[in-house]
Amino acid sequence: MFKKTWYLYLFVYVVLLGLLYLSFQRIDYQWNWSVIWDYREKLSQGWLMTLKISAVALILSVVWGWVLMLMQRGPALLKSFSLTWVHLMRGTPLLVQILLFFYVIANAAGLDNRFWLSVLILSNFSAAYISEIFRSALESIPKSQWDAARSIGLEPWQTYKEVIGPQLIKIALPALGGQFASIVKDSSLLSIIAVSEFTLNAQEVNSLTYSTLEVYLPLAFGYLLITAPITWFAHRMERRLHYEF
Amino acid sequence: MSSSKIKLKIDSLSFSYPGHEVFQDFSLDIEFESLLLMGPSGGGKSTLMRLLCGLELPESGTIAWDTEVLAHDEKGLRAFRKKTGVVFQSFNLFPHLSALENICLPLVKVHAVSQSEAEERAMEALKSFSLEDHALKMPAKLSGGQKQRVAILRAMITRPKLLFLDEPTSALDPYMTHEVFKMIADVERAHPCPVILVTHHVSFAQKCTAKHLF
Repeated sequence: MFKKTWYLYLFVYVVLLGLLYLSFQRIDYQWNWSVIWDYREKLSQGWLMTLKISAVALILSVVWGWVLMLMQRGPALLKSFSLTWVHLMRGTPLLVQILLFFYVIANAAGLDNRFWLSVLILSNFSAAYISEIFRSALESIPKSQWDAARSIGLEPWQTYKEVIGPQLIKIALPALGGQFASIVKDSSLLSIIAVSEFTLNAQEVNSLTYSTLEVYLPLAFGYLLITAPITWFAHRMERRLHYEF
Repeated sequence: MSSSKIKLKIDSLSFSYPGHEVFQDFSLDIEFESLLLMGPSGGGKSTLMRLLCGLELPESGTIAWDTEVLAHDEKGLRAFRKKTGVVFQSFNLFPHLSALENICLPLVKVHAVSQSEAEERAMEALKSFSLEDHALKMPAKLSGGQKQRVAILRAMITRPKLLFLDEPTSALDPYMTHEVFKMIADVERAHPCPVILVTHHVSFAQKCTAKHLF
């Protein structure tokens, strides 16, 4: 689909960029790119840190999200814990969670590794959403599929691996792709606990140069560089796993 | 239909769905080659079949096939289900697997048959019923009759000791119904085993020498 219509996508990009360009022309914006170039190394270090935090958080959030979903299918205590936890994480701002986990809980526990704490906070937040994506995907698989798997004698783990898992991934993938892109963007909030990621470094460069848009436009482009491959890969997997019910 | 007899002994079986009692102290002692379960819709035929094939746990009472008493836990029932074949009304093929993969799955994953041998056996079975051209098709690309015939092959490929058929033709047109029943008879001839069939087809029931349970 993408190959056949790539020029249409290109056209949309050109139109949007053209509109942006015309807007800048109209307000007669004075660009100052040379100052930013001096800080390219600082910005790229921040970008790499964002990439690292997002990549690890993405993996952990899938694992923790799966565990939270399974807990909801388990004994009453685990189910209550999971439901409450997911409700709290989804119902409160990430900003507050970052402050609370970092300055209160981690502080009280004597933890101070900013990278790992960032990863844990971010993946925990995202896992709440992912567990709901998994839950709704799981519930949409007909009961008859479980019956068929049981009737041929599959063990429970085989049922998940051979029958439910592949169908669940196919159903969950579109929503998961969006959630993965959100993890990358949400990582920008970690700047409030002084994690040296992309947004914090951009804010610092901005305060040094007063060239706000010259910093924030590359910032947006930098995030797109990470989210675009995720979206592309999710779409590719969707096509590969395509089958009709 | 088949040439192998089996004894079924049900003792004080009770089972209910939330708010709906299906069996209360139901007992039965019977020996048969094939058993037809007939009766009105909602009369508990399919529930009885699910209990007999170990897909449901009774609240109380026991079910015994010959000398084997069905376990009252999922693990024990799983061991029993490995020895049976079940064909459902709505086919229940796995939609992400091709017809061939659907048939191979129980052989490879449950009965530890190598992938190549499983494929060979599955292809042979598909060929016997002129389904080889559909081997690589996904279930969504198969007609209702083709889906049900693949489902029958998946149930029979492991050479089960008991075959359960839950209204296998109720979703099919009259021609396909005839074809599927013919196939069941052919498969049975090649690998005789006791059959428990839930059906509304009185004509089939009349032709069949099986014991009837209303």
